[in-house]
Amino acid sequence: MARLALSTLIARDDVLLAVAREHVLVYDKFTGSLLRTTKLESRIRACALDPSARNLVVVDDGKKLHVLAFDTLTVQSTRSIAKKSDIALVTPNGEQILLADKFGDAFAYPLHPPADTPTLPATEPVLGELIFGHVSTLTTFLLAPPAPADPKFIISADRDEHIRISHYPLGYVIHTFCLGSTKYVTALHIPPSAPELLLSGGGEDELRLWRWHEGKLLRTFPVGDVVRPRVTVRPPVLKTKPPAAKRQKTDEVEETEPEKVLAVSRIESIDNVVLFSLLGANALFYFQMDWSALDAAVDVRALEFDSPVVDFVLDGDTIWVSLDAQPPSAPLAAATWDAGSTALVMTTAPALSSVPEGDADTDLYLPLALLPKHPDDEGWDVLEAGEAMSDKQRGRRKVKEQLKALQQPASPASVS
Amino acid sequence: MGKRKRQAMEEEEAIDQPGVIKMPQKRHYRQRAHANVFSDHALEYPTSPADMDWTVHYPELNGRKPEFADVGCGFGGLLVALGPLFPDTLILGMEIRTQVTQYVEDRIAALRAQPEQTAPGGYKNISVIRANAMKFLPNFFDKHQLSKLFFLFPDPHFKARKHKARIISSTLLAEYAYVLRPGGVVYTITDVRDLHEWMVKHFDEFPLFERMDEDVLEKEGHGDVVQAVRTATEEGKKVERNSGDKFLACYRRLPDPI
Repeated sequence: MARLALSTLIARDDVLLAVAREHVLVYDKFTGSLLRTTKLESRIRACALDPSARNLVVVDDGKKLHVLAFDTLTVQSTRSIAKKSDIALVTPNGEQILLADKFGDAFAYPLHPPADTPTLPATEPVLGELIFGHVSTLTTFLLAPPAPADPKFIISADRDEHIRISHYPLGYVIHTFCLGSTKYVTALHIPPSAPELLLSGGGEDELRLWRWHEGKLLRTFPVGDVVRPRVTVRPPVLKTKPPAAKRQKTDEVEETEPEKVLAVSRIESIDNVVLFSLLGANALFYFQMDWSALDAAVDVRALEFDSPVVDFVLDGDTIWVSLDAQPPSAPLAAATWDAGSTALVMTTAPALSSVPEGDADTDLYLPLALLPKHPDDEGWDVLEAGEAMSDKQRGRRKVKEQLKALQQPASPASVS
Repeated sequence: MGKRKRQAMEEEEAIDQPGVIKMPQKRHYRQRAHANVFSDHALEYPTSPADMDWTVHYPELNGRKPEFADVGCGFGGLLVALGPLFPDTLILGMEIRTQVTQYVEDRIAALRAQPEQTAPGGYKNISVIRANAMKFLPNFFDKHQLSKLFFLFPDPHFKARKHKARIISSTLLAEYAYVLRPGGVVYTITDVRDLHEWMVKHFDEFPLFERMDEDVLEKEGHGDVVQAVRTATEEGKKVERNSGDKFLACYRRLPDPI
């Protein structure tokens, strides 16, 4: 048994909401006492609060979409959905829930199910309206311009390095792409101080800055040197190895530790301070940014904790940070921007009561194993040393050789 | 010795005659028809269209970029038929299977090298690339770059759980509409009725595409393209030999509503 990590922090008024596997927990953010909690039937995959803060949208592993009353955590409605969703958000006008599943499709549902929707037990999944889709695994998306403005675009990212800008609500009209990332993109952020800009991060050693409406890359921010030493969690070894690993004919036993994998999990900004976290890193990273001098060099720094950072959320001047820690270490830390020293500093966080326990969460760092790509093809026409050429290879080679000969001027020796 | 082996040996002995370009033989390049489009193949693709060096593919670029794309071009039959019909247009075949791509590459090189070649364009305007078009079309082509997109005899992926792998789906149509310019045409053909109905359903439902029936295609001058779509590919010829049906469905890309 272990204390469960708090994922999905949401701060609102005097409370801090957190998700711990099947539990929804609402804490008093000053005293740390647990005000109310509810336990769902299966693990919560995504959670979002609507702009009015009255409705909490929760998606679980059982393919259920619940809407809970935020002040009592009672379930107001439950709909069956076709696929498990990992991302949920509510539109700024509070009318729609956007859910995205790992296969890459995003659907819209009305916040509250229409009166004629069958109630539990629901047999038929409710069909949401398909807004857009990626063929690759969808990793994150957001609406642009950011709330509270009326959204006109969706910015979505996937495992195959794409950042796509589509119209909203007509998600089938793709406006442009922001192309240039060389690894999966897992975090997107539009700074409120410069809403025409987009920050992105993923598996690379850099963050990228774009003018998103034009699909133009403006610059990169090298963060690898500061970030890598603080990534303390290695990717978990999967029970079924990817094909490339299977085919390796090595005599050596695979004793070596898997390499570090970077995955930016969240990017935020407070005025001219950009903050970001990585999955499995024990720090909150930040740099100051002059939004009017975009090319200026930045100084990337880290505020370290004793344990890996699971998530963080902005709450006025406070930054709440949840940590993957076991007692006696605290699961919640707090930080704030100190203008005097121009640094992020720790402040006191309340000790949280009654954080639930359960079996250790093995899924938390799974993305570190699943995000990187494993090419399973090898050069097909390369002759292994000592192997005889097959008929097929010989046939292909003959054609290639004659074409090569044509490109080179004939030497006396080659004329038969 | 069997007949096939004897023929093969005779073919090999008949080489090295000066002036005769030996064409690549399909049997040396055979590969399973199905490749998993969701796997992470060791594919090379440009980070963005601006990073793509088309000079590797077309010896005379003249500031042009490909305008026609044959998605899943197989052994290149359509490319070879269309090239001379549109000598000023750059045409690109995309194929996910390595060996098949290599065949097409070798075939095009051999065609270009033929002495006393009379085909307009000399096959210098056609090329092939190994690529996963389902995932990476926007990496290769800018917005509205293409004027024609071809899906000839696509893999039907019969089982329901494989439907997501079908080359035409609601989410993919948005990407096809992105690379295809308003007024551009998509050509689809299959001998599998179920797949034809699937494709038609998805295209019909997609607001940016409008069906063009054969009269319209003929009137707007696409008749010879349609004929090539029907008869130029190995797959098309195979269907004819087996007296199968060919279901054609073509769509015009409409202007963006926004």
